[in-house]
Amino acid sequence: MSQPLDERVRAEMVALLPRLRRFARGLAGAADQADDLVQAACERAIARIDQWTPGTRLDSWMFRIVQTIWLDERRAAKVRTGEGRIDAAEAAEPELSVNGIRQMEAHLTYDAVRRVIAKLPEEQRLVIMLVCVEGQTYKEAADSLGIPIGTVMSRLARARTSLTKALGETGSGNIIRFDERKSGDA
Amino acid sequence: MSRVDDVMLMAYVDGEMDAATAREIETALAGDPALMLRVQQLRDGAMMARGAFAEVLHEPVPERLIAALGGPAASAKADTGKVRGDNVVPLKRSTSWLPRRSAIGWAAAASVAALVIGYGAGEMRPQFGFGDLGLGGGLQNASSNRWLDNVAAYYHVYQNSLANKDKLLVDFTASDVPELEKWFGAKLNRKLEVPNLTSKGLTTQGGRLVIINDKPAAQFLYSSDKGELVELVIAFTDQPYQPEQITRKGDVNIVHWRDNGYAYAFAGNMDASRLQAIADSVWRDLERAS
Repeated sequence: MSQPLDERVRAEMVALLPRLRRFARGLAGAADQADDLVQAACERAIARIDQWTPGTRLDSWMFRIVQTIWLDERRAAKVRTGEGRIDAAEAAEPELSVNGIRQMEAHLTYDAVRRVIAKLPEEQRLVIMLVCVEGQTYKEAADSLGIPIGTVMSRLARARTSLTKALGETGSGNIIRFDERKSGDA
Repeated sequence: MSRVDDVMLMAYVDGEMDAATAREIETALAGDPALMLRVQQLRDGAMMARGAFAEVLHEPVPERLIAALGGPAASAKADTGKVRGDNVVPLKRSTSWLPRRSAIGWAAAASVAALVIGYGAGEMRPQFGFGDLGLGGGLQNASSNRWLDNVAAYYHVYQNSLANKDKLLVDFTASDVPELEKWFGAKLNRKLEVPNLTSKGLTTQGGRLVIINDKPAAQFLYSSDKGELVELVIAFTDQPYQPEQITRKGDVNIVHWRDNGYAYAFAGNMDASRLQAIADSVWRDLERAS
């Protein structure tokens, strides 16, 4: 039986939802699948709130739940299909939710980035989302994934090499300078 | 040092190296265009990865997710009926900006800032004795948080002073900018141009001397006619390059980065994507001027 949820903790969890959705989007690709993942993580967090230690970082704990559920689902899918690896990006086009007006070039570039990340091996996808997108330190990512810092670094380096190479090949920038690309944004 | 490999360059770009090793990398970079290109690619890749998912933060959060947390969804609703990721608290509009005051010395300005921060310590948790701006691992995070806490605190000092029409607040007008650039340039040991953000809808409101890491730092303030209030803080740092990151402190979004011995924070009560777009422009202007 889990403990009743403190309202402050609940409010903190609600405030985390945009970040959890972003993280899940990077892992799952499609928006609906990502939100399903976040919903499952929320439900698990509520059910197992007694496993979170007050005073420790709630965001890290919830990110771990998201990644654990995602990895479990990926493993289960592999067993079901008998495949070595399922590429979510091939199964479902990443849905792009775009607010506001952006230059088409930026859209295409970001689209390419999302596609590249969606096609990375899952262990690389996790580290690039945790470090480059969520801004975690190598140590935080290592703690979160339960692997040595050196492993985080090698996976991250491979992921970023793939990103650079793929973007160069798609002609989506070689690589386009971020500030140049966004010059008309503000 | 031995040959610089891709993993080392990546750690350098991510700000994960100690200062001494980072300096060795910088030395190696200076004579190697190929390495410099690779560093640029790594920086760009990280920024693009972050940018590719930035919009998710500003999408309405489906109510089913709030419901999954078992909370009263209504309490978290924004005007649209859905939770937004960029729920920045709007700035309390002041009916008028401060009267022009340029006679108060800049040293006095530092005292004013320190005084107000000390007075508000209980509410804002600002901290003096800042420590370094980055040490690696958890320490780096804690220290980075302290620096950003102070950036947010200085922001609130100005915001509160504005709301209270504090007569001690120092400001300057456009005509003071050349003198200000010269004065701050000398304090910060660099050529400095106060970024002009008029094209972004932001008008320069003032500048103050603040203290970060026991060293002088510059704080420039801007506002828009939509009630946006923005600050740019430039401080010394002995830490290596760090790409742009976005951190939220209370009602303030902060885009912060380190480059070439300086730590920068661009903070405001506006949507993170707009703030980041303007920060990119600021970074470019500062690079060009230095």
